[in-house]
Amino acid sequence: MEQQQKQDKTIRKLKKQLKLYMKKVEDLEANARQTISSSDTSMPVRPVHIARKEKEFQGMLEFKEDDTGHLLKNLVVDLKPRGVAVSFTPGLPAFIIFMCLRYADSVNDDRRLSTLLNSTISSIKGVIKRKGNDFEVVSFWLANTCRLMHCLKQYSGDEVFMVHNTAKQNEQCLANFELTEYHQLFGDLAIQIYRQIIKSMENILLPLIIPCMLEHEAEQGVLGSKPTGLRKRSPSCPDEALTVEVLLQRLSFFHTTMSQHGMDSDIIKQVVKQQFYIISAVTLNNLLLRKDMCSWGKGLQIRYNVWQLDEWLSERELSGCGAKETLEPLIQAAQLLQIKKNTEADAKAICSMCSSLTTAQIVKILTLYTPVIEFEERVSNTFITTIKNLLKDRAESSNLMMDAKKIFSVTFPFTPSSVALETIQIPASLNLGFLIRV
Amino acid sequence: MEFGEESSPALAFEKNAFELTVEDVYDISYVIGRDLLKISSTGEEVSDLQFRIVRVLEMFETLVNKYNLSVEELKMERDNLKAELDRIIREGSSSSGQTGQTVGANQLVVDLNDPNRPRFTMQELKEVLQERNQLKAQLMVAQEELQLYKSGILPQSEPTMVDVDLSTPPATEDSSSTVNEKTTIGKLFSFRRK
Repeated sequence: MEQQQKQDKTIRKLKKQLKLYMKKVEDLEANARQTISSSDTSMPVRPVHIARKEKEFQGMLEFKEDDTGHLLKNLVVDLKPRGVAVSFTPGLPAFIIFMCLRYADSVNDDRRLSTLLNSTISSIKGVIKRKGNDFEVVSFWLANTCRLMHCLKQYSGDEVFMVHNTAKQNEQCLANFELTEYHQLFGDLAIQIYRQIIKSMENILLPLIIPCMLEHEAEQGVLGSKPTGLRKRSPSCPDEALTVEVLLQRLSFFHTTMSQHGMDSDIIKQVVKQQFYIISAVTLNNLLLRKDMCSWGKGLQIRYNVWQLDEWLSERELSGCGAKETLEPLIQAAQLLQIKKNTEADAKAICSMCSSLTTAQIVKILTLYTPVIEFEERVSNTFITTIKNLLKDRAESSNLMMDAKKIFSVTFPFTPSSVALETIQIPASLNLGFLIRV
Repeated sequence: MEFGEESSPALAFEKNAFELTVEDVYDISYVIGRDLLKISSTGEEVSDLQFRIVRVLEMFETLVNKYNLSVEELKMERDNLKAELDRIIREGSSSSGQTGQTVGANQLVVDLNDPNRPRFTMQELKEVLQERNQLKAQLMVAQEELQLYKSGILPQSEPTMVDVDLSTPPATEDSSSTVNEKTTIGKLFSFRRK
């Protein structure tokens, strides 16, 4: 019974289709007769192959204003910072948003354009607010916000930003609107996100700094030989030894993640410098409070750890970023622990060496200095007085502690991209099928 | 967040296929994308190629994810079944007393302290029964004979003495009855000898 009904349905459908096609054929025939009758002589009788011209894409994405919410939901709010599409093309979300922007510009629709830009900014802010502790998310949006900002400049039509553009890129500059104000807005957003990234990294690093940099003791007095057996343990063990290696692993993770997100190398360098400053300040501040950390052996250990950090910078080609310089106070403190502290000559040597330490800090370290070996003596009061006298002409702050919360001001130098917008096709996994490639 | 050993994304290419994770797929995507950018950055052909590569990588991500999930699920199920089996075995062995043995099909568990436990083989049983039957038959014959003697049908002389005892003169039986006796007795015991 059911089968028959189905068959009836199919028959009806086919009949309808047949009628439709018959009509079409009739129309075509009528048209053909018309054209033949109108152009009598010049038409060649033999069939000519008409090739379709290869469509040239212009690097824009057509979208309806109503789609803005949907677009930003899939591309910003719900987007994971780790995936095939975003790993393959770093900065892809930024490029997609910019290509939509170019479309709104090309059709001269200022409302569509401003809706897009304003919603983008608020969506990104929302993500940073909700997931500010997730380093990967924050890094991802710092990279993409900067990329979008750079796109606004690169395609602005302003010659200053067009120096490295290809001819095609120059053609793609914004036609109708001037968006300089948004350069500023995105710049402010980037600064906000930068602060958040420093915070999120700090949260991860702080519990590690003092154990790894100060407290960990290499066994057997041979520096650099990891305590036996610990080298094999994977860091995911709950009782992992907190050595400087562990600290470096975290730094490597941060660096790799930022690179894969396509963050400008200028920004990465500033982040690394800030990280090193935090490590240096936290370590020194702790040392200034603890007698058990002020010994000759500790001085050696600290210098070894600092040397490891320096090696890491070289490996990652970050030697010139200013990170090493932030470690200087710590290095000098370690040297102070090791140097002779008896004669007037020693005092002079100390004063010239410790250029990055304040008087208060030098005095404190000397006071805390604990000899480990029997015949070594504590630093005499006379010695300390000598030091104070030698340094009394210094014009400096009387701070004992370093400001571990200080964040260096960040800049975002313009970094154009060579990506050709007309070659971008949106991967299926982003679920943005409602955007039309133009 | 997994930190693990310091590993460059390119290491994902060297892994065994069945040990890949989705994180490896993302590292692979990053490396391929970066390499592709190096060779060419314009042209629709490259654009199509890039798009197809990304599509394949997306499918790859889905497969790797599904594979890893399935492996996890199967492992869990296997562990659950193992635990269940151990539990049942433990319960089974504790309820059957001190034997501490696992019992198979078609097997009998015998308590060695049981006085009524089976002790003899079928063969032994057969032989014993046969002998019993024989002895029973002999007994019957002996009982019948006794009856005959009691009722006076047979004289009360030693029935087994067939030979004439020359040392002692026999009792006042005449020879004919003795002869008769022999014949009767012979008859009586003929079937026994058989």
